[in-house]
Amino acid sequence: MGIDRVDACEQAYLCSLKSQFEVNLEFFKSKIPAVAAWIEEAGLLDVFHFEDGCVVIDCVGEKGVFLRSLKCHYSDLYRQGLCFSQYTAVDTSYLENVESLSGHGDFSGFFTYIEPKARRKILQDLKGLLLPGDSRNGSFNYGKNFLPLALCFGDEIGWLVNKVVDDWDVCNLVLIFDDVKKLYSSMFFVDYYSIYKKFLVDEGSFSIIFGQGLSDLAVNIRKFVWGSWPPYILQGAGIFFAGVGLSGVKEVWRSFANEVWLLFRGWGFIDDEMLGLHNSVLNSLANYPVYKGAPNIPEDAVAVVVGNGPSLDSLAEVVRGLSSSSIIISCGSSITALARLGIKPDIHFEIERTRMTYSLLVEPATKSWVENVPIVALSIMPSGVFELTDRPLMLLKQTDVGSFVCDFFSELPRVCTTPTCTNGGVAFALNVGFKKICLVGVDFGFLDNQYHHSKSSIYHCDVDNPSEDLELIIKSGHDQAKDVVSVPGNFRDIVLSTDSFIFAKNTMEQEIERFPDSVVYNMCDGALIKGAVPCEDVSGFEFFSKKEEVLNLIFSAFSVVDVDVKRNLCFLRDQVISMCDDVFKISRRQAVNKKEVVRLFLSINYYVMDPVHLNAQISPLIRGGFFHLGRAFYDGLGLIKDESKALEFWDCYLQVLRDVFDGIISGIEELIVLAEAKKEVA
Amino acid sequence: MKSDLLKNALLQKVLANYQANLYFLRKHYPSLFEVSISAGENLPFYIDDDCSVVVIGEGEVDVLLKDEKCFFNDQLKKGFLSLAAEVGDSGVKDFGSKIEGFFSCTDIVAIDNINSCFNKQVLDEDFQIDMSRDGACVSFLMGGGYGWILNKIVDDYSVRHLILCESDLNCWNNLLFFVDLQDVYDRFVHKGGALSLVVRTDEKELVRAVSTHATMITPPFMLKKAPFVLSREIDPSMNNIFNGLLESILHLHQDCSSWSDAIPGLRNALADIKNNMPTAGFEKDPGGLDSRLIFEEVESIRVLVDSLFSSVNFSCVAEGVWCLANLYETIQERSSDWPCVSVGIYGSLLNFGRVFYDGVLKTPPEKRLQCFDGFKLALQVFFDGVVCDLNKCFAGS
Repeated sequence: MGIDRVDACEQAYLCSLKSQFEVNLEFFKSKIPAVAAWIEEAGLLDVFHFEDGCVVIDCVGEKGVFLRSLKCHYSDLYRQGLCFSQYTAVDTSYLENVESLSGHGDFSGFFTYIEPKARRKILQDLKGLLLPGDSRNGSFNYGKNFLPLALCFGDEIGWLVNKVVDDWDVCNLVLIFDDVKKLYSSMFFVDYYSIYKKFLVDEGSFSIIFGQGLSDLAVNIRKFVWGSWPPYILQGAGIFFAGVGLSGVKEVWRSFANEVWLLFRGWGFIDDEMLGLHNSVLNSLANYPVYKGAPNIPEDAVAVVVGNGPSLDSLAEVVRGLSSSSIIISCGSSITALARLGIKPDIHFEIERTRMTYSLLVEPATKSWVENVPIVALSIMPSGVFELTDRPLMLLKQTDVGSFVCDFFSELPRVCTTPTCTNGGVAFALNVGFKKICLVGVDFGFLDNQYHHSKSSIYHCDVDNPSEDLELIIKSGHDQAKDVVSVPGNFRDIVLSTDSFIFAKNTMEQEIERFPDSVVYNMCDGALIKGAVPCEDVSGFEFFSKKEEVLNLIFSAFSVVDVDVKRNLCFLRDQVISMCDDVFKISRRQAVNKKEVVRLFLSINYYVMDPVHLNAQISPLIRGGFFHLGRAFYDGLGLIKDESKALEFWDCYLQVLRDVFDGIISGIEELIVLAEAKKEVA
Repeated sequence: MKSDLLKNALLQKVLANYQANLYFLRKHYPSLFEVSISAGENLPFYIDDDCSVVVIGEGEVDVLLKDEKCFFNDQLKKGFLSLAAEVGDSGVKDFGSKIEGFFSCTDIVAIDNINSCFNKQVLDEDFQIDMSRDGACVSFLMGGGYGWILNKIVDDYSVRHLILCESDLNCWNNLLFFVDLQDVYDRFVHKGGALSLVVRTDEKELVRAVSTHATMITPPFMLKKAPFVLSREIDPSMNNIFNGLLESILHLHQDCSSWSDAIPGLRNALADIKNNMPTAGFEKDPGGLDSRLIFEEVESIRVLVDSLFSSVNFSCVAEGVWCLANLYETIQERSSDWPCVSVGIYGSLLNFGRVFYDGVLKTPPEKRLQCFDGFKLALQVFFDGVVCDLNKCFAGS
């Protein structure tokens, strides 16, 4: 650090800076060990030296920058407002349209009608409070100089983070570092420990996200937000940035912003969970065999997972050829194509809990084809689905309250089957233990949005006398292909895809990553799936010949379990009652302004997202609903200008929550009665 | 174990900071260094088992960031920071009686011109200037707290001279453990500011030292509305110091002798020289008053004013005000270069500055640019008047 030529004053200052570094390092070691490890991996760095009595940062550009110059420069940027922007994660036009928040038609296929009512109530209340027009903020505002979330791109000297802490009232502060040198350097000049303690006292949080590559960093930010807060906290979040390498910051943020919508997907909602719970009660009482763990599948056994993408058409003969030597698993609507192509799958896989699944399977051409095909489906399926086959096999879904009806204490394995049936099929094959899996028709995209599914499937074939549900399914398939985006292709540079497909593809990539011993071959001319090997020809594969043996091994992994449905439902009900009590204990404190409303609101969310509660059985039932309702409330609150109206809106929201809890509890109680009645009949 | 390591690192850091500050004082404020090393023999803090730094008798320094911030923000809300040095307006100086007897109306014309910059459309009697943000020439920081405010002022305020006034040696000693004086000093100086640290345990002595220092670094009229920033709740001692300083500023804010006062003296001197009478002030120039040298002096001052004003962005108030302060400092520093005219012209410029400054304080920011332009023009007219006066003097002699 150039200490040879420093005078006594500089020597003392150097000691002071080094001692600050040591405090930070010890703090990271004890509280954020991953950061300490990142720093220690980098080794000792020369980040500054003295020159004419000034501290010169070495890692900023070639010539270096005087500490004081840099601080003054940042100070000027800050005063001019060039260091700050307020983030709008997703648009809020839905707030204007009450109906948009309560889809799913008339909900006739659902067991309860809780969440649409609640969402509608929040929007109606908001609409009333936002009249007349001048009572609305132009952008999200949760209180003067108040930020529920601030994301601050760290720099070499940490000046900005101190300013953010000084000038703003921040609940949750996240520092983002795209370069270990920046964090390393700043540790000499910033007292991170003191900042951490400040947030500790205020019941807020102080976190550091780091990553060396820009796109990785964007992914890390997204993952961190998802794991820490309800995603809507990003609305109106303060973004602070200053310093050298701003283009990098922009790139990280652009990359993050491009995929932020992924955080607003896959939340689930209360009535969906309640429907699953209802179906699960019936299926559990029917005593279908349940998946109990991976059998010892031979290493060279091959599973072919068949989706309903356009590539199924060109690969149909390949599938037919493979059917004698591999296990064909059809997923979702691909069965309608296989039925028409005359290819019999060994297993059919289903995940969707609505009655649409049943409606699709009873389409005449499909129904006759599937009746002697074993169906592996989630416990939350409409019970009729299992009745369509002579070999019903039940699987428990990860993060779904319905699974706990069958197995309250998670003694049986769960499989991550979301969001599409092909995700489920691949996850099932991986979990069962296949080491070689071929993907066919798992396109997550298409070349032409008029040709988005297999031409042999119901989406492109004429169906005789389609039911209303089937018409809806077909229409929805066509509609979803309208809004397209470009993504990297498996065999070509770019193919078309949709937001839903991208979300599903990303989830499949994560699932494949979890099974490093298995190889997934992607034979589809669709989207590139990271972790899957593009494969145009399987002629070189060695196939296991004893197909029946493999199938029997799979079937042997399912067996009937002893389930006390009523007890499990009572457990769930009691958990909901406890959570309801806790939530209203938290919200009992009187809020006197908007800022306090936000703090109370966030406290409830912290409670719901506390790891203890996230691991509770009712979490999947509650969380999605809390996200949807919370989002509408939070977005709306940010737009309300008048403090008294904000308080009024808070009261409205609490009443909505009360109604939601009551709805859930009475729904579960109804299921308890149903379970008792069914048991008596049995 | 980890907690012990952190605790030890924390202790080392606070001590290293203290030591670095002492070295800094020895280098930049040697007399204060002597005072500082004699303050307090025991450590004024300890580190508890929770790794919190606890200042003895003061609560947790750990949460100080928050406490100081809250306190400071409260002061802002209460309007403490607007408790600036209040001094009445200058108004228009009554030169009427003098004009008749001494024939120069250069000052009154200049004053009129300056006043006309601030016509009714520009002035806003209700406008409350926040000098600390808009560009105070001098700001008094009453106690340094634990340093949070020092950093805040350096980052957020436009202050040319910051004078830290501290009467409590224990508080000063505490500050040395927790603030990075080198960093504060560096940044402040780099931004064009000057940091003065005045620590006296005797209140009267502190007031005297601060007042003397203030007059040395700024024209007195610029002390008007000088902000007083409080780092802690106001106590009787701080109240005494505040009142003492305010009285002192009021006393300093007086009229000065002007060019109009100097002209009769000059004319008399010329007459005396003509009559071979001994002339006070011109002993060094036995040849008498050389008109060429006097005109050169005036021209030299005019060039200085023009050059200082030409490179300033007057839309930035801080820059404008600081430039004004710079003008006065430079003229005072170079007064020996202009033995004949500097006293008179400097006095007039002080009077003009005072009138102008009074107007600026009531002018909303968006209208100040045109006022600065008007002021520059008024000064040009003034210098023309000075030359005219001199021509008349020499023609008369």
